[in-house]
Amino acid sequence: MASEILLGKTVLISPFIGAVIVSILAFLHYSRGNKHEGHDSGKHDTHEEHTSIHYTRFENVVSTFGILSILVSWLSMVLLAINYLPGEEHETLQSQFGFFGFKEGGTPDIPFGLLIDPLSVYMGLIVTTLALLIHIYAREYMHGDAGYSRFFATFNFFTGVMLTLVFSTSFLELFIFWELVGLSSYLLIGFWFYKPAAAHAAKKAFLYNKIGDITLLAGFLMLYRYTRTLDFVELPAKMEALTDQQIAIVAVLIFGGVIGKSAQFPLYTWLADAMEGPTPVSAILHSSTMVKAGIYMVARVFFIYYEAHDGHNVFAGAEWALTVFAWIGAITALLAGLQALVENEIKRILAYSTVSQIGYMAIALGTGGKTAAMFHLLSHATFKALLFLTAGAVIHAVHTNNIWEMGGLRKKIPKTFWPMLIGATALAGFPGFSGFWSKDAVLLAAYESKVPGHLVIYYLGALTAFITALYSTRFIYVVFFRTPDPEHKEHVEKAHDGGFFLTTPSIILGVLVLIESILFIPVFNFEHWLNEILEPEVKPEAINYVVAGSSAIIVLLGIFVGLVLYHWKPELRTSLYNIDAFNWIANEFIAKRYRIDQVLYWIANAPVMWVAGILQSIDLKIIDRTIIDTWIVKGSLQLAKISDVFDQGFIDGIVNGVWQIFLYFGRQFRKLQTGLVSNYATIFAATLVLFLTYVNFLVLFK
Amino acid sequence: MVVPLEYFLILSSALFSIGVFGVITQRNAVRILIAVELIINAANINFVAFASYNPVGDISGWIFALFIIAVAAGEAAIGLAIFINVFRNYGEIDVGHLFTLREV
Repeated sequence: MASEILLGKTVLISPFIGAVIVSILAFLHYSRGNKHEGHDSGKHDTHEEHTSIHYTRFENVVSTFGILSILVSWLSMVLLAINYLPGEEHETLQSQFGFFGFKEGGTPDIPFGLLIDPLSVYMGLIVTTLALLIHIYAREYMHGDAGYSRFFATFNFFTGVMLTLVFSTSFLELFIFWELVGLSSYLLIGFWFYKPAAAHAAKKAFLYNKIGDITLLAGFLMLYRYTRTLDFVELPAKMEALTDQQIAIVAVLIFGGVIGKSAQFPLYTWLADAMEGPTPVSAILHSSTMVKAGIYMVARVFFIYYEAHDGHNVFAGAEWALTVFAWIGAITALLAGLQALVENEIKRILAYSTVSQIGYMAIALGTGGKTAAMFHLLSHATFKALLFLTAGAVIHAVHTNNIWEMGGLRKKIPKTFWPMLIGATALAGFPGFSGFWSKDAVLLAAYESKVPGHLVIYYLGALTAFITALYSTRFIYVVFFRTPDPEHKEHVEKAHDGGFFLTTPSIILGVLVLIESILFIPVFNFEHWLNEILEPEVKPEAINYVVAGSSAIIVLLGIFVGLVLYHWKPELRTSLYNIDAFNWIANEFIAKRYRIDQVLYWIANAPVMWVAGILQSIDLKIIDRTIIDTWIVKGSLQLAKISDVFDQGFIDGIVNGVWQIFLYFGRQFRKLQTGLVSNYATIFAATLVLFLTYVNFLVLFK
Repeated sequence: MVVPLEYFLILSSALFSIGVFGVITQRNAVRILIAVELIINAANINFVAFASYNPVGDISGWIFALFIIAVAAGEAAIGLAIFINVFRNYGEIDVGHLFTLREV
C-alpha cells in the first residue's frame, strides 16, 4: 500500500521535475549568450533560423529529459495499474499530504493529497500513455522551433497538472489544478503568441473556460456549505444533507464547469480556434487532457447525480439537471458533427469531431452511463490522439492545413496513411472497431435510460453516428484518395513521411487502436470489467442487438453516402450546393458556427451597450448640461473672479507695497549723501556720542 | 610725586575732543588731517598711560602705541598724497567745495 502511494507520487511529480529540468537547461543555454527566441521576432515561422547543429543538440537534450520524465511517470503508472487488473481487490487509497486549513471554529479541513482508486488509475493510465507518445512525437515535430525548450517545459507542466487533477482527493484540489490546466492550455494554445490568431485563440479558450470555472466554483462551494466537506471519499455519505432542489442546483452549476472545459454547446467554439497551437498540443488537449477533464470530473462526482439502487442508476434529485446535460450533449454532438462536415481545415475537422465525441460522453453521463462515458473516453482518447498526430504529419508533409489542397497522399506517406485510416475507421465507428463498441455503449445507455426524452437523445446520437461516418469518409477520401487539383500537384508530389519520432507514435497508437478493437469485442468482457471496477454496485447492461445492429447499419450507410458524394458521384455535391437553401445553411449557417460566437458576443455586449447608452445620455443631458454647465462652470468662474481680485489687490499689493516702501526710504536716506566731509564727520561723531551714552546708561543702571 | 592716572586720561580726553572738534569744523583738508592726528595721539596717550599704571607690568599698551605711531605716519603720507592730487585737479583743497560725489 505504501509502495502504491509512492508510485502515485512518482507519477505526479515526475512531469513537474521534467519541466524544472527543461527550464534549467534552457536557462543555461540562453545564459551562455545563445540567441533568444525573442530576438528575431517576425521570423519565427521560418525554420531556417534555428537549424544550427548547436541548437539541434540543445533540442535533443531538452526533449530527452522531457520524454524521460513522462516515461518515468508512465512506468510508475503501469506498475500502479497492475494492482487494478480484473480479479484483484480494488481498494481506494487516500494519501493526504496536507490540508487547506480551516481548523478554527471546528470546520473540517479540506485535504490535499492523492486519491488512488480504479477511476483515477484508469484515467491516469490513459493520460500518461498518450502524453508519452505525444511527447515522443513532439520531439521531431517541434524541431527547429525557436521556442523548443519553452514548449517542452510547458508541455511537461501541463501533463503533470492534468495528472494531479486526476489524482485529486478533494474538490478544492481538483479545482486548483483545473484552473492550472486552463492556464497551461492558454500557454500552449498561444504558444506561437506572435501570431495574432494564436494569441486570440488562447485568450478565447481561457475566457470561455472561465465562464464554466465560475459556475463550477459556485457549485462546489454550495456543496461545501451543506456538507462541510469537499473530500471525495467522505462526500458520498454526506449527500443526504442536501435537499433535491439543492442537489439539482449543485448539479447544474458543476455541469457549467464541464460545458466550459469540455467544450459543450454553447461554449465549444474555442476548441476549434485552439487549433492555432502546435499539433502535439491539439493532440493532447483533445485526447486525454483538458477537454476530458470535465468528463472525468463528472465521473468522479457521479454520486451527486445518481445513486445505485437495485443494481441501476437512479436519480439523486438532479433529474432535470441531468436531462439538460444529456440534451446539451446530444445537441453538441449533432451541431459539432455537422460543422466537421463543412470544415475544410484538417485540424479543425478533428476539433469539431472531438467536440461531437465529447457530446457523446456527455450523453452517456447525462443518461447515467458512467461506464459508457469512461469507455468512450478511452477509445476516443486513443483514436483522436492518433488522428491528430497523423494530421500533424500530413501537415508536416504538404505544408498546408486545407484538405482541398491535398489529395492522393496514400502512396506518398504510407506510414501516415495507414495509422490515420485505422484512426478514422475507429472514429467513424466501423463495426468491429473500438469506436463502434464504445459508441454503442453510449447509445445503449441513452436508449435504456430513464431521462425524459431519452429516445430522442438516442436518435440524435444515432444521427450523429451517421454524420461522423460521413465526415470521416470525407476527409480520408479527400486527403488520401482524391486526385489532387492541378495547382496543388507540386507540393503533393514532394510530400514524404516524417522521421522516426514523427511516425512511430502514430504507428504505436494505430496498433493500440487495433488492440482495443479486439479487446472491446463483447466476448472479452472489457466493458463488464470496466463496469465492475468503476461502479461495481450497478449491473452492466446486457448487449442490445437492436441498438448494436442499427448503429452498424447507420455507420455503413454513412460511409456509403460519403463514398457516393465524394467518389462515385461528386457532381451530386455540386447540385446540392446549387440549391440556395442548402448552400446558405452549409456555408452561412453551419460553417459560421451557427453564429454562436456572434450570439455570445451579443449577449455579452448588448446589455453593456444598452446600459452604456443610457449612461451616455445621462452623462450628456444631466451631468454635462446641469451639473457641469451651471454649477461647476459658473461656480468656478466666480471663484476665478474672486481669486483674481485677491491676486491683484492683496498679493500684488504686498509685492508692490514692499518695493514702494523701500523706494521711499531710499529717497529719504539719499538726502544724507551731501558730499561734504564735515557732515559725514558730524554724523559719525554724533553716532559715537549716542553709542557711548547708551553704553554709559547700561553700565550705570545695571 | 606720582602723577595720578586721571591726569593722563583728562589730557587725552581733551586732546580727543579738540581733534573731533577740528575734524568737524575745519574746511582745510590739511587741518582735518592734523585734527585726525590729534585723535590718534589721544588714543596713544591712553594706551601708554594704562600700560604704565598696569600693576602686572604688561607692556602690550606700549607696543600698541608704537604700531599706532607707524600706522599714523603711513596714514598721514597717503592722506597728503591724496590732497596733492586733489589740489592738482581742482586747484584747492577746501572740502566745502569738494562735493562731486554728493547726491544730486
